[in-house]
Amino acid sequence: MSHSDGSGCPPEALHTQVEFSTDQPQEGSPETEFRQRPDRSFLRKFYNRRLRFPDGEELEIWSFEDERSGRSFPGPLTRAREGEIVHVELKASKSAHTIHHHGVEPDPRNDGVGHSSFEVTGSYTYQFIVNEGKPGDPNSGAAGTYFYHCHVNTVLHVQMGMFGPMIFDPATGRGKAFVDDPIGYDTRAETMLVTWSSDRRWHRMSHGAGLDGEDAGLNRFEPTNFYLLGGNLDTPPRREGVHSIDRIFATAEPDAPGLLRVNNANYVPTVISFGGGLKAELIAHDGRPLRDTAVRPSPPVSAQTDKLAFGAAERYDMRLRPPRGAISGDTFPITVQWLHWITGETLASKTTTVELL
Amino acid sequence: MLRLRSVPIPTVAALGVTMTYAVSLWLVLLHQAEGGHEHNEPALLVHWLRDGTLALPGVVAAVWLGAALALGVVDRDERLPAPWRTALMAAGAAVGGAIALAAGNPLHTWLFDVREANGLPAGLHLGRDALIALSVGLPVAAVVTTLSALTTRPRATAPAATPAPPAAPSAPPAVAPSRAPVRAAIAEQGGLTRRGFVRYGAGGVATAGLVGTGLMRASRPARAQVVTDRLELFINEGHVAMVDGTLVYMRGFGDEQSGDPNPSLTISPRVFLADGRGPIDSRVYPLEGHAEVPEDGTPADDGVDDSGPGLHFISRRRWASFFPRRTIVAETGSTIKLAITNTLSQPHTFTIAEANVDVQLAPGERREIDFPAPGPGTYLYHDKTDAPVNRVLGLYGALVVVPADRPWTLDGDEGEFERQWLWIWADIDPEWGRLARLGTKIDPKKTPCVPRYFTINDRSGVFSLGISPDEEQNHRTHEDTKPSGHARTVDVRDFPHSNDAGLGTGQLIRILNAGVAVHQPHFHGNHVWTIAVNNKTLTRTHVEIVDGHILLQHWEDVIELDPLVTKAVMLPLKPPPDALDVVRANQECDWIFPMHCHAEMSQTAGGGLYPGGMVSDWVLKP
Repeated sequence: MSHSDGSGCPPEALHTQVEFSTDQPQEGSPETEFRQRPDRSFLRKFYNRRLRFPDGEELEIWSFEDERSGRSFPGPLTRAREGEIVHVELKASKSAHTIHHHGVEPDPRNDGVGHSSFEVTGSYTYQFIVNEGKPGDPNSGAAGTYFYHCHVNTVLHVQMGMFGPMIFDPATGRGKAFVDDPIGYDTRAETMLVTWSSDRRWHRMSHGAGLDGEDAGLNRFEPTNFYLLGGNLDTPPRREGVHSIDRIFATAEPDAPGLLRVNNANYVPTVISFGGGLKAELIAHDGRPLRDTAVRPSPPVSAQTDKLAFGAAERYDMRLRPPRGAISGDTFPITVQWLHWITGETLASKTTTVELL
Repeated sequence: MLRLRSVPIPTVAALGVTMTYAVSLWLVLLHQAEGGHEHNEPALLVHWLRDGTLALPGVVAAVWLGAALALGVVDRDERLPAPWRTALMAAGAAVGGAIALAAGNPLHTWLFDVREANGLPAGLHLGRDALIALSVGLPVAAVVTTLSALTTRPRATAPAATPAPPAAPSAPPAVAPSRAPVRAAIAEQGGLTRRGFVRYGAGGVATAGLVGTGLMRASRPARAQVVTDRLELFINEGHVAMVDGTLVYMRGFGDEQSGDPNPSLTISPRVFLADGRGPIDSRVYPLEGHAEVPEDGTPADDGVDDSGPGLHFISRRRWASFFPRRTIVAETGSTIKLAITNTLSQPHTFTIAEANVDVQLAPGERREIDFPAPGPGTYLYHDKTDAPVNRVLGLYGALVVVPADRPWTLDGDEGEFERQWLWIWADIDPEWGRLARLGTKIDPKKTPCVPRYFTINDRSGVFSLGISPDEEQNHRTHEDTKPSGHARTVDVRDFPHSNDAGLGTGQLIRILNAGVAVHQPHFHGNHVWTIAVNNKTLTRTHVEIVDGHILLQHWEDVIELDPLVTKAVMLPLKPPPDALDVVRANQECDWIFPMHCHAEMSQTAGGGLYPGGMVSDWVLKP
């Protein structure tokens, strides 16, 4: 069916499935239309490297690096403020890739999806503006937690490691989770936790595995190793390699709590359990604060829990609330379970520690 | 083996009468030609009518018994094509009738003091009469059963109209106020056929390009059915082409009795109205004449809104919505009238747990059920036998209950929409299909489900994106699966039912996971506003957390969708919020934003072919 409306727009091309899978529109180094002066610029250059994980596993990883990050995994943090124009330059290093800034909503050319725009084999600068929040308005504002990833043969490329964390702050910067965050957080205790698992069978595949109709077994994600990736956001890691979490900081201060940002970057559901009386006070989901929208203006709302269940690509922001009487140096366990996407059985669990500053 | 209901009663009556009088006339004439006579023998006409009428009850019973026995013995599973079943019925009826008429001869001799002149011994005489009766009865029975089959053809094979142009809201209803099944103008047409698959898939598996899950429908008449004023569902089986051309054995609730090569595994959408009308064959609701039908599925705008770049005004309470195959739409207050026939050789159920509907069907059994529409919402109908096995094999569909008095809202109060969509998500495991076809009982613990195909509204990949080589299917995808509209200003606080028709609102999407895996629909371009989970409208005021999941109306860009869960979300169709104003102001063509499952295994077909699974787009018109 053509989408042409008579205004000169090309109709959508028709394809068989194998044509569609093998022949996405590719452009070497397309131009960024209506290019503006950016407030923030980031470089995301493709790399591939064999990386060693904390459990001794060695995997072929494809990911992104910038001028300073070295070949680390996940890719470097993209962080900007509401109202800023952001440029992200992808250098694809000859193979075809894109960057989809997951949860960011620009026009299709800047959305990083092959079939609705193009794949990049040279370089392309994605351009978007971080939507600005207004206090009490549930219809605006983008401050929150995101991630970015390649959207070419996505099932494989994301599992190979082509993703990185992304955070938008309100215009005032760090310390508030969103424009009318009534409490804020202690910036020393801001943590990114990425739940991820790997299927080592997949890490031996080529970029285009399965696209020509071969049975690459990409319908079967059977994770063999499980990781808590990320780290403290106040002291970004300098070293190359795998960034995994060994400790999460929180505070005993009710008016300046720790802030935990979580992102499920694999394909199976995960459950986080908070132990020792520690509670998670949920304040935002998928980059949008939770609000009471029965009234105008619509104030932020939250709720405490000791269990959070979330699936592939979801993000949550939460204040970490220790039990009354807790003091600096106290520790609490956080356990992450990975569940089978069909049976719901627990595949594995990992525990890390929350320490009060 | 013996199912008397397999032979329609009108057919039995017609067979009995015609065979009785045809054969008895022949026997009376033969009797006279041989010189036989009776005591006080009446005239020929009276003789014939007397003998025929006396024989009639016995012959009718024998005809019925013979036809049903023939069908039961030879084609117990009803796999033969309709013409063969007609022939079988005729043969069985002729044999039964001939035996009855021949066996009546000694009685006739005793009753009327007959003196035969042929000199045959009694046994031989009986056999000869039986053969004569058979030679006369067989062609008579053949003619009668054929005529009967032609005159009782199921209604589902009647031709359907093509979409009509939008009608004015004030136009009179297009649907006649009748209790009989009525076909509205926007009726479902036949879906993909094997022929279509061959045409577009020519070149082999690697270049094949369609998923026809359950869309195939027979173009030939099925066996004779009694037409009723209920929605007839047939539990059928057959092979279905996946998006890569692989044929997979599946089962389904079809709207006619039909197996390979054109299995009927899904129904065209039907509507039951609160005023008692229905089932009405219509792809749109509200029915044509009560709402405008959006061309290509896209509601037209209501003028340009100059308050921002690329904005339009939209209309509330104006547009009808297309529904996909498998859908039963029911207004609150309506009674849903179904007749379900299990054509297969193993037991099945028809179950809607939330409506307290749970019908067990033995092989070959037909059951009629009436039940009141449950509260507004989206419900799964399915076969719970060996769950989830028969659901994965395809025995599922959706019941959508709409508030009769406020049909443009989700529940009468919340979720007023411009138009609405229904997405039924499913996972397909060919290995389970293979085992089921062999009659193997599937134990999910021993043979875990490993889906290889993933569908939204029975389509995958290029078909659910509406960009396949099959333009008719693409058109349907645009109408019933791929949301589209013009950018508008929305405020989530205006989504409840409002008296101000000038307020902007979005398009409601009902998502039902009929599969076995946890899926994660992810929307590009706009976050969606989650309104209801499992038909419970969520609170707007405070956060509830149940088993780690939050229950609050709020924005999400990924919707966690556990198996058997249904969610209702509003796609606002607002300008993509992170696009620069200068870019928005210069939009000239459709902006296409993907929607796909982020449990990325579901983006594959046959282990590869990304993106060939649960993927669609939504379209923002310039």
